[in-house]
Amino acid sequence: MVRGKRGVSINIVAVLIAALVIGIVIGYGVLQLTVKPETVTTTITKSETLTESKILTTPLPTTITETKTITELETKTTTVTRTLKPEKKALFDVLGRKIELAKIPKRVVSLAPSITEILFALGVGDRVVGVDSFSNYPPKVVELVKEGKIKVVGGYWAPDLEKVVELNPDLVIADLGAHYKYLAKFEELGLNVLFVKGGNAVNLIDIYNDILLIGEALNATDKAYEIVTKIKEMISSISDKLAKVNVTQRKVLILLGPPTYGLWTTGSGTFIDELIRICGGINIASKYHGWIQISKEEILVQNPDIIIVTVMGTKEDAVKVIEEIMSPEMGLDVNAVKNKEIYVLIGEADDLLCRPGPRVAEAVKMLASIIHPEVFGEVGREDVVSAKQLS
Amino acid sequence: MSVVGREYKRRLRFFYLTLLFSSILFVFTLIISLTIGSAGIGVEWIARWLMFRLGFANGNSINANILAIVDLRLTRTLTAFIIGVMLGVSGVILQACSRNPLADPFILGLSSGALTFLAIAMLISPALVYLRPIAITIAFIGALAGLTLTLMLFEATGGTSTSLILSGIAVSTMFGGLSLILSYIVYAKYKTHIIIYTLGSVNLATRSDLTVMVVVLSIGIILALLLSKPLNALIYGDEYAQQLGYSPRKIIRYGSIIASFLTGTAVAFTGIIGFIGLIVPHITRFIVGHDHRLVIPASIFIGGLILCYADLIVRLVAITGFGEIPIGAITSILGGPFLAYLIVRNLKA
Repeated sequence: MVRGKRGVSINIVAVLIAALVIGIVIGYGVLQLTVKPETVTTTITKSETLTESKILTTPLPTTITETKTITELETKTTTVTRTLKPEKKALFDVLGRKIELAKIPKRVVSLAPSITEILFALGVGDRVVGVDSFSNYPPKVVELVKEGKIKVVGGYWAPDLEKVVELNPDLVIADLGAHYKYLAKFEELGLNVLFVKGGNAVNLIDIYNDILLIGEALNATDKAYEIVTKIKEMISSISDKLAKVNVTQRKVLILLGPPTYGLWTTGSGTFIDELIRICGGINIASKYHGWIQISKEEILVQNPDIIIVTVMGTKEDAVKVIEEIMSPEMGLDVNAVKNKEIYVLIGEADDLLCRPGPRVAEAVKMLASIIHPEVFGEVGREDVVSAKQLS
Repeated sequence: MSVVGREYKRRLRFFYLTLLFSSILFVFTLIISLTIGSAGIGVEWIARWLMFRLGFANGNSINANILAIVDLRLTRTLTAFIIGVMLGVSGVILQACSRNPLADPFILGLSSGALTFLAIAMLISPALVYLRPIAITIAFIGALAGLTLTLMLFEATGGTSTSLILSGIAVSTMFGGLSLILSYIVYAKYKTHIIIYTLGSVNLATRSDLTVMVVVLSIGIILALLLSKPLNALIYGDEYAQQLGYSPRKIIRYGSIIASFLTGTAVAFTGIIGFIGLIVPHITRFIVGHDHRLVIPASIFIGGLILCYADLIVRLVAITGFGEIPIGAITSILGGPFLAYLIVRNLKA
């Protein structure tokens, strides 16, 4: 026999593939069959023991009406209310999942720094039992973690599921941007997970919605409205001021991380893009979408007036980054370099800009005075290092 | 003949001993793995969990929370074991089919092929990837595509041992780059990372996934065992196999399909975990010899156990507060030096 001839025995291959596919289908079918009886039995037991409960367990449109029905029931019979656990409410997260949780959740785990900030701003920090390792604001969080009252449940990108379960939370708040892939696992573990937009926020409205949603979940709706209104007022005061003065818009380039990490920037469809627009700037990367890497050529063509860099590090690191960008080897011969309009955000200023949390108004204020110091005055912040200070 | 027979019997005895020893080790590992994790749970609770799960105790004796955590650990360990078996067995088949001790699903481009096809499917519709049977089928086709490309390149370049590895590297690099680009596009479109797949993690598999995995694994192992005799013939050369009535082309084709099926499934569930398919066949052959009727069953235990221990390392690191590190990184650290050793030995020989 010679090896050369390729007699393809298609039949056998086809039969084999068909067998595999049928095997998978059967396997899945068996799985479905084994799961079904379980759900059936639970519904039967429910209907047997709690005949009157059906009225209450049907989802109610708002929390307000729900509380009303509960009080009515309480006046009727006390035994029924006890078995029904009326202190429950239902709400929908950003994925459209229905979540049933206690009226006032007592043990909350936050999986993102922006969510931790929202929780503490709402004044429910005492109910937080776990946070991710990046959560560092307000300072009280760090204190509580040190005291051991709040446990750290792993990093933002990779939460430690065991630790989350160990804390026995009645509500876990997750970030759609980082934790979507954990959804199936969360559900299997029976965790009550509320997804907010978080890192996936495309504009300020998403941030407001996150705050309101978390407020509703923690029974702090009024406080949430208050926070959102305050942010809106602060932002509109800044945009009004800009409209009155009628300044020319300036081109801005935001770099996330030093240039050695690659020229990462924020295109349209990110909340930072909207912040720049509010502060009277033009994001030179807005023709791109999402968090992307920009080319040097593009920067040279667009010729930004201001370069803002976020750096996780100390003041020395910031100085190094500025020197690097201004150096002739970098080849960035643009207005920002010529006029020394380079600003490096470190520490808190870095967090301020990158977190879609309740401090977004402060971020706008900071950005506004960076982009238009003639209107808002120079940024008097320790953690904003500018190239002008150096020379 | 009688010498061969005696040798075979000796090997068989050794094989049964290995099987016995490794199944004891498996149970031991399973129990050990339940006690290791970032949540501090005492051994006493593990014992109570065991009693509850075995039906000796009622639900009152155990905290629901601890129940969930230990179940989580069990799911993880079993996932690691099954994925280890899949990769180990497909490594055995690939090394036999290619008659090359350096073959591995990762090196020959199966894993990255599967990942690329998964990424393409995700671009078409994310639902395709979340429906497990469809994801498995897609990953299987991708793995087959990767392997076919490698084999085509291999034949075009003359069919030496080095050219197989080089063509494998070419194909896996190409698919690796492609899947990286696709992951960016997927992120831009759906704002979801598939990056998690590129270094592998046994963290995310659920219990229902486990059922599907067991079904796939059983089919794969039965098919692999059916192929064990032809594989024995093949490793002694094409002519030898033909004399025994097997077509070498068919053996290679079926072997490729089974290896792709197992690797594709592994990638669809846990992403790329490299080098397990390289290490396992060597260790197994070292213990039970070259007879594939023994190598394939023995590699089941050895593959599973190696990945279980890799997962235990991941968990031990997690206890220190370092967070979850990808299991693919651990296997690469273990496998890289092993590959270097094999290359040195092969080139000297």
